[in-house]
Amino acid sequence: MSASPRATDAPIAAPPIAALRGVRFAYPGGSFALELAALELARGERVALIGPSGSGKTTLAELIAGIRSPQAGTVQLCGVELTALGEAERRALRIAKVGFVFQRFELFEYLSALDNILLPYHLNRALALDRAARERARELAAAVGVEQLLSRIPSRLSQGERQRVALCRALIAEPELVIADEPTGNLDPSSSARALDLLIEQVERRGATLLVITHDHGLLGRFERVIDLRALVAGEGRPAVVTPR
Amino acid sequence: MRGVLYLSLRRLQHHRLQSAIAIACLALACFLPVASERLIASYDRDLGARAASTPLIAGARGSRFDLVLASLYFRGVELDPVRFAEAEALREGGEALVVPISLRFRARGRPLVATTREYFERRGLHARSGSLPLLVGECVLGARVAQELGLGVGESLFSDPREHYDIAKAPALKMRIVGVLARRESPDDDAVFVDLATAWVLEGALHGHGEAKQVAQERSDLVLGRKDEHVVFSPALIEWNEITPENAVSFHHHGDPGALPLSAVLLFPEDEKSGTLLKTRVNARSALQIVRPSEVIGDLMAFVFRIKRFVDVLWALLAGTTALWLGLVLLLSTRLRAAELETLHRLGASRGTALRLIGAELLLLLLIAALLAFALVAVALAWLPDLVRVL
Repeated sequence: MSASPRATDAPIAAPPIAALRGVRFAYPGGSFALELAALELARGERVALIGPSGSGKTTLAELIAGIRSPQAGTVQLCGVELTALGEAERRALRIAKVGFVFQRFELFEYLSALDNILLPYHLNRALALDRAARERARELAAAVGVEQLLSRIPSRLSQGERQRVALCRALIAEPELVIADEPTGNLDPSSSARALDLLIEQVERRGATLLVITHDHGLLGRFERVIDLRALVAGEGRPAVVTPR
Repeated sequence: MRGVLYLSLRRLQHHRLQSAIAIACLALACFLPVASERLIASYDRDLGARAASTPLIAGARGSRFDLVLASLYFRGVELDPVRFAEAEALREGGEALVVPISLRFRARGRPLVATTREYFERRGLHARSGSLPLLVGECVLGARVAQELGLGVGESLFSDPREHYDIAKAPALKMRIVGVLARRESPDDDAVFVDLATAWVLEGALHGHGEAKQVAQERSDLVLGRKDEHVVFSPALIEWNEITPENAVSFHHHGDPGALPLSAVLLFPEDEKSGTLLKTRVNARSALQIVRPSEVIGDLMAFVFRIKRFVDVLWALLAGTTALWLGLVLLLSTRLRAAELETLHRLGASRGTALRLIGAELLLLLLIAALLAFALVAVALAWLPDLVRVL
């Protein structure tokens, strides 16, 4: 991987899936502030987001997904200006366009693997929990090799199986952007590589954009673009964009 | 909302033990005050109805509560005896119908009520099968007694011996069942009814044995002495322990019939005025007392309601404590579930959805607890024994 950072001014042909301009976000109390001049994620792109702990990786992902709103600047998701939307509209857009994979998978122990996959449908009236949705869940489970485990609760699944169920949950609503927050953080190196391959394969198969937050620099070669937030921490105002070899 | 309810239900199912404890606590907090309210209201109604149907009761002086509870509900307290002559004296003024009762014995643990035919008329009791007791040694069973003991007309029932080790006392008597009463949902269902003479046989006041001259000839070893017209037999002379048509004529009484014991006398005056005159006359001049059951039961229930008011305060404190406990559980649960709720939010649930999820769990717990409490109250009302039995 090249260590020399450069500005993110490479031309992007298609309209970006996400675009942030002049964003400033600070948590109440002022312990942390994220300032970002510009950042775009292209459709179908595989992007890694790296940086030291506390550099704002998760916050940036939440701004892109519309979970948080910046105090200044604009955030566009799928061409829609999020900062102009209310909470309910942002949430509706997030449900429709964004899927999440969390570091600890955050599966619900009281639900079966199938219900965990279908959780977005249980939570959102906008998504119809019909036979087609259940069929899609089974197809996704089959695609990642957990179709025999759908009736089990998470504690009866291995780490890798849980990771696959979490991936299915992220993809069930057919999102255009998948955000994975350290999805391999709990796995050993070989398992991490396999899990990431699976994630990339499933996301690419659906033509979605993948944004992965990771500390594992050994995996960066699998991404088309790596965004390093160390430059933000240093106060340069723009993230360093690294193109892996 | 359906999805939220589904998730809540699954979570409660997953945490079965915690849910069961919460439901049990809530159900108990609902059940106790509701059940006590309903039971006391039910008892008040039942006790009041039976008391109202019996205008006056005469008995030996003493506790008026014991007199009424024993006479109306056959509660197992021993009343001081009333002489038969005193009961007869109550008829003299002609103010009231006099129904003597004797409650000193039991049969298979059930109260044995010795009385006259007027008792059945006044209580509206009639035989579902067979007939009412007409002769000494016959008995008629209350509906529940017949059901519980599995006995019917033509079979027999032994009285419970009062003294197992005293052979001088009258032995258990084998009684012929001549009828079973129709069910009335009253203490009469739990009693065995006999004629007054049968109770006096059990007292040992009436007894029957073979003809004295014949016994003296056949069992000379039982003759302790002869004096003019009298023969003195040993106590080892076995008296009849069953009254049959053949030996019924041999039953007799030695002594003053007026001294035969009763437990109480139910009085049904012609009108209010007659009852008041009778009550005043007897209470002023007789060794007996006359009480109005409705007043006694009213006083008793007033006391019960005073206690209930105190208990109601305790129920209110219990409900308050349960509510605080529930609030604490919810607060701690919300903190423990912070990560879960945050995940829900990231997946697209509103903050309100998280609250609805917790609210739905609470609602389900309350609903199940309320249903359980309702079922328990229904069971309690159907199966708890009569108040008099537990007093």
